[in-house]
Amino acid sequence: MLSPLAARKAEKLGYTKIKTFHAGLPEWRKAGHPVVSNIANIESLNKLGQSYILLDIRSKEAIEKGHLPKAVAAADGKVEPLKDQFPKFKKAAVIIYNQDGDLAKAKDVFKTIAEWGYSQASILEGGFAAWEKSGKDVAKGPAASEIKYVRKLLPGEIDVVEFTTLAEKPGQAYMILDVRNPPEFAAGAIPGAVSAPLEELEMRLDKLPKDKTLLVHCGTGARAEMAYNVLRKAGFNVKYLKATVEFDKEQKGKYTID
Amino acid sequence: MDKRKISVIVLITAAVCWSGVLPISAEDQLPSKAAQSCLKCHEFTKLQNVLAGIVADVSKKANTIQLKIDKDVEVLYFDDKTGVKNAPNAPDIPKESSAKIVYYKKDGRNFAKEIEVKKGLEVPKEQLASVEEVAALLALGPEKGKYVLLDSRPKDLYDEGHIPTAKPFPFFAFDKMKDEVLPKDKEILQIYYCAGYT
Repeated sequence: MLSPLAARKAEKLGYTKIKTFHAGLPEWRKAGHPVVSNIANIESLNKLGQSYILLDIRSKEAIEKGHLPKAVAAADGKVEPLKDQFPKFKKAAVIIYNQDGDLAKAKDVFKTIAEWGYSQASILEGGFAAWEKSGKDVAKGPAASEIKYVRKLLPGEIDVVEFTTLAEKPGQAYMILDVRNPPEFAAGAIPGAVSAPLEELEMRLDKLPKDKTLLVHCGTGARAEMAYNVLRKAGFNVKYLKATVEFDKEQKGKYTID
Repeated sequence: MDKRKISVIVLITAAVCWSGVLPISAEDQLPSKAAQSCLKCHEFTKLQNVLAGIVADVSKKANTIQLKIDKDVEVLYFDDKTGVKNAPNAPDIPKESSAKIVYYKKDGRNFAKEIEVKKGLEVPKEQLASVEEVAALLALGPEKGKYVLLDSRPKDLYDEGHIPTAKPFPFFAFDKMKDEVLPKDKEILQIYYCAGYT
């Protein structure tokens, strides 16, 4: 949206050789072309305490001589063995680096990871050399061999494990609120959950307790998030589950959260 | 406000213009709220019953739309009577698109009277660059290919991921940065890109 506006401004300055790649970065990624990121991005992720996956794809010897402190070794670009350790969250930031940022060497790894569905993968511009040159900390010895990625919870979001624990042992302090439609609820629900369909939620606010924490879920997390926003504004103590809840068709009351 | 800022606003207002607001009776006047990104180009504060922001999500099952207005979030309901502009229907409004919603209250709920999805700008065909064209130039490099690739998005998004060889040139810093970024040589091709059509 911004690029055509910028192009018009440039035109007004008297430039004539102007084009707009209107489909932009999403189309570029879709076509399988490499995307690059920079050191400022790593600094910002660190400052915000955001988790990310940093892969060193150089040789074992080079990695041991010096690597980025949070790097995981994928020596000689071998990422396949790490595949199982990648998070389910496909928007996780994945940063790949080699010695000098040479795209010809890094693009195959980038492509593999992009094909796994990770939409925010990038290759570090300038690679390890740029990092070292900027005077940043360098770790020596073997790099980590395991990916440890923790998605930061969004405001109001409840951790899946915490939700599951509370759902299994319902206490007086909590109420599980199922915001799906009545037919969906009837077909299968978490034992003890109260049905409060999102489309009628605001008409039922007076029936909900203000002295309990409401734990909202739906089938995917989408309606739960909306319900969270409605309830939060209405002054309720509320958290929501941003995950898929699947109900067993055979056994009533049985469910899996993913 | 300085002259430069005014000229930016005039330009964008002319380029992306919302249509007028539906008339609403005086008794159900509700406050208007708009995201900073909308207010850069549109004056919503004088209007009533308007919410403007980014579509965070649409639920087909509950007939609700979630609108992100900076750090705030509004949930609105829609039905068959909800008017929709620039999208086939309410359930199919794409996520992340900008929208202006005229709303009213019913039974304590926010209802959408009309949802207007912001349309992307039209670019003349001869000024459009394809992904193949950009890839071919990239293979040559900026010097041989005689181009500059310019990323119009905010700098933090550029840092997160950009097309190789691109330079950061955030649209909202155009005037501040133009002398330093734009080539002196007018024969060099300038290619602008951002996050796509939305």
